[in-house]
Amino acid sequence: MKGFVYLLEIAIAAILMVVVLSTFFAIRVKQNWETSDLIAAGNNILSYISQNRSFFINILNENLTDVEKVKPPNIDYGLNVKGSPKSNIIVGYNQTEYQSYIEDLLTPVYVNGRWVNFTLEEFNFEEGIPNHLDAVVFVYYTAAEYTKYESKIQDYLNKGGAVVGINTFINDQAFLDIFGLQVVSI
Amino acid sequence: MNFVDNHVKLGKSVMKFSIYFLIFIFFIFYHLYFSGNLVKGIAFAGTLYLMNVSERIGILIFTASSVVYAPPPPPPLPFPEKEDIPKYFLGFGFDANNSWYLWEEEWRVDYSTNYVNITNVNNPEKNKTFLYEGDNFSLLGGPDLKEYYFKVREIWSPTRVDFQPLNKSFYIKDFSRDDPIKGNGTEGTVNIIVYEEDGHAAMTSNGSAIWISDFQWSDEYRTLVKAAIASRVDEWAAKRLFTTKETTTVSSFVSLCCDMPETAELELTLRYIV
Repeated sequence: MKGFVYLLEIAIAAILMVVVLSTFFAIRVKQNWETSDLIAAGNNILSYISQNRSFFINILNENLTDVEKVKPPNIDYGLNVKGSPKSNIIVGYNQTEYQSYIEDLLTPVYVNGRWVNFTLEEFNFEEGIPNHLDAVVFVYYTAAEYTKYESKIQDYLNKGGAVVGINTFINDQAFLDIFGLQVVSI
Repeated sequence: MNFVDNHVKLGKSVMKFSIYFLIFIFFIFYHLYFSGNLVKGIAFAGTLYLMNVSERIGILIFTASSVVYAPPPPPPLPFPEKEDIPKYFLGFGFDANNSWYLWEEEWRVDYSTNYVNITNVNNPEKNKTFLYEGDNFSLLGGPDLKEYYFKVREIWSPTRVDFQPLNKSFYIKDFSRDDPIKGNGTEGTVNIIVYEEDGHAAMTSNGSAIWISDFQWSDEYRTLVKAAIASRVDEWAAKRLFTTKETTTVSSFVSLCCDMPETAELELTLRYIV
């Protein structure tokens, strides 16, 4: 009887070990296959894009139809571009009186076979600078304006926005801080 | 030393240049016979030369190229490394509707679907006529009195004509308006355009915050503003993937040409839809 219980314990332990180990191995194998599959699928998409100039230009135009066509339906994706501006750059301004001046400055550019457009969008400083703006332009801002809005401009810069200030020298600490300037002796 | 007085009276840069060259030669020969004054002599002549050539002039240096028969490069002035603004400046070029302002000088631009005529408002000798799309032409008389080459890149009749500079560098006339200011030199802050003569900056960068001095209307300044914006927004998300699940990322480089070298890294982040 004692020998039978002993054999039964060994059998139960063996079954448990098989079940537990198979579970672990099954997960590992599945994960590796998923990663490999995703890498292969991603490389296929990138290869497809790099083989045709118009596919890449479509991406710069924020048109992802080509990517959607070639990607497997059971895959979701994100796409980042580094080193090339998108074709529609959204530029914010908050000075209605300088709208036409900024429009004249930022005419569309045709470069490398594609158009780069600058779309102007007016924003209200009291509500902060919207995050979706790629850049903001300040024309002839005064010391009082830079001082008043410094914290909002710095917030926007810290979130990755770009700021262009067009004005003559202003001896104002906020202006100097935002643009990292120092006064030099003549 | 009396040549300094002559420099003031002569007035014309070409003559000044010749005089300084003669001074330089004089001091070399002087050294051969009266050694000991060579260093002082070259330093003196050299300083005058630099003041003459770089007077009130900023410069953009282009790092890569698709350049056609450019003249010898001018002496480089300090310019921040790894700065993309010059690349975009030369790549974007200039668009002209009826007028084209270059170095604060006005040109009339008349064009049909086939060719373009460029007429200098004040100096008919600088006129260029019957330029077809793809044609190169040169303009003499930038701030450094050198010849600069351009290409008629596109004629978008009846709206505008695009010109592209072909030299590796481009002289920017001083537009600093004597602002006694420059980048503070701390990390991330650089002078994009600074004028040697007085050390005043006309354009600075503090990371993504770019300051540009107020300028008289001229198309190179417009292009500078556009180049500044484009250079600071060249990293962006075409599509964001919001997930807390495990993802896999692959990347590849894709390039465009040929107005300027433009290589982008595409980064795909993927996950299976469960």
